[in-house]
Amino acid sequence: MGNVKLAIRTTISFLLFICIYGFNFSVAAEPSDSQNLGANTDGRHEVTFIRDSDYACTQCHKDSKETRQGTHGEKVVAEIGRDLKCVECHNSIGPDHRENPTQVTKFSAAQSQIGTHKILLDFDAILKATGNCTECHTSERLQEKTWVHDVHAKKATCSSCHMIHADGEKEGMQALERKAQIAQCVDCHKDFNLKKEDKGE
Amino acid sequence: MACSRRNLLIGAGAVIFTTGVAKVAIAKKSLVATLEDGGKRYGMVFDETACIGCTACTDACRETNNVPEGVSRLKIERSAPMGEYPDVDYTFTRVSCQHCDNAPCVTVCPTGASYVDLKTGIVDVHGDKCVGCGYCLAACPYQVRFFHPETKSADKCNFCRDTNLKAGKLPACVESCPTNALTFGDLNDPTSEINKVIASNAVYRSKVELGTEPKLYKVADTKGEIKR
Repeated sequence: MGNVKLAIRTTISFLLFICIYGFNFSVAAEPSDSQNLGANTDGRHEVTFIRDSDYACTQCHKDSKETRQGTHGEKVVAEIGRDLKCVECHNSIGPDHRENPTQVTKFSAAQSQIGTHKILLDFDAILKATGNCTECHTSERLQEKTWVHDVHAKKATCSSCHMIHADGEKEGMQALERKAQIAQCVDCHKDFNLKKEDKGE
Repeated sequence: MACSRRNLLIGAGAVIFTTGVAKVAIAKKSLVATLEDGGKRYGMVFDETACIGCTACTDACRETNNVPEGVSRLKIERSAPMGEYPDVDYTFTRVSCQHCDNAPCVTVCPTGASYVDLKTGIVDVHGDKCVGCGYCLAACPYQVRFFHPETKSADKCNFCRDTNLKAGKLPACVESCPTNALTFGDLNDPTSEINKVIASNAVYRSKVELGTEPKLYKVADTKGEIKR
């Protein structure tokens, strides 16, 4: 019996010793690690990302990061000096994101006039939806590109015409020929007219 | 020789007098006749309030009538931006032949190449009669005529007379407009769609004070200055 007691006592004290020993290491490791990683040549502290915040997103949205490269990849890095994260555009991802994804900010085609295909939003809702885009794509820049941006500012969301996750040079509005671009105007506006005629206006 | 110099001069004068007067008389009668004989007088209404400036019409025109790049029978002119973001707006207007009843281009043409078609009221050009003097280009108050780079003759909108109208269709611009901003029809027919549109909207025509009697009507935009 005395042997058993001794054995238990020895085991407990050994475990305790290991715990304290390990804790010492982890406490000692943190400051020394950050010193090694963060020390820059000019003495300034350089912040490095310790993990990829997009990792969890891309587990399900597998190719979203690649499809974004054409429009919001290198060009963004050149402009703001760093890459964009998913949540910078798609914010308000709640804890029940997988069950109720309606909360997350999405960029879908919407317009202020009744049409056949696109959903209907009022002026304020459209301005709110495009607000995220117009932070970088300012109204001045948009006007410089084409006057069409001006007249649709509160009448259609960006994604009504543009593909946000796409190669802008090969897909989407910019890649289209002049004729095909005009066909895009005709598509929606003809639809409005047909709708109006249906209603007997 | 029984024909003295005096007789010859009198005879020649008489011939010039009678043929000249006769020509004027025919021309006069014909212009009136299009109004009174029940002939067609094609015209067009351009609704500035409906136009979205997509220029589908200019492309359709170019394609249907084989108008080369660099010249155009039909242009849509866009105004400068009005207002501040997000309420910036523009107005659009149509620049094309107005098909004047009293067309200066026809009056100045020395060869008769430029003419008003009396059955339809359409102002057109006989390409093979045109010598390229350019009088009509200068005389047109609306500045819509140009030299066709291939045929070298004066050219302009003729309501698709030898393309779509011939095939029994509406002019290409009217067909292609997604917002129904264009109405084409016979101004002589009181029941025609065009007369209904003119009767139910505040319309204007450009430079009527010149006496050209244009047949292109425009529904004025609710914003900005009327583009006369």
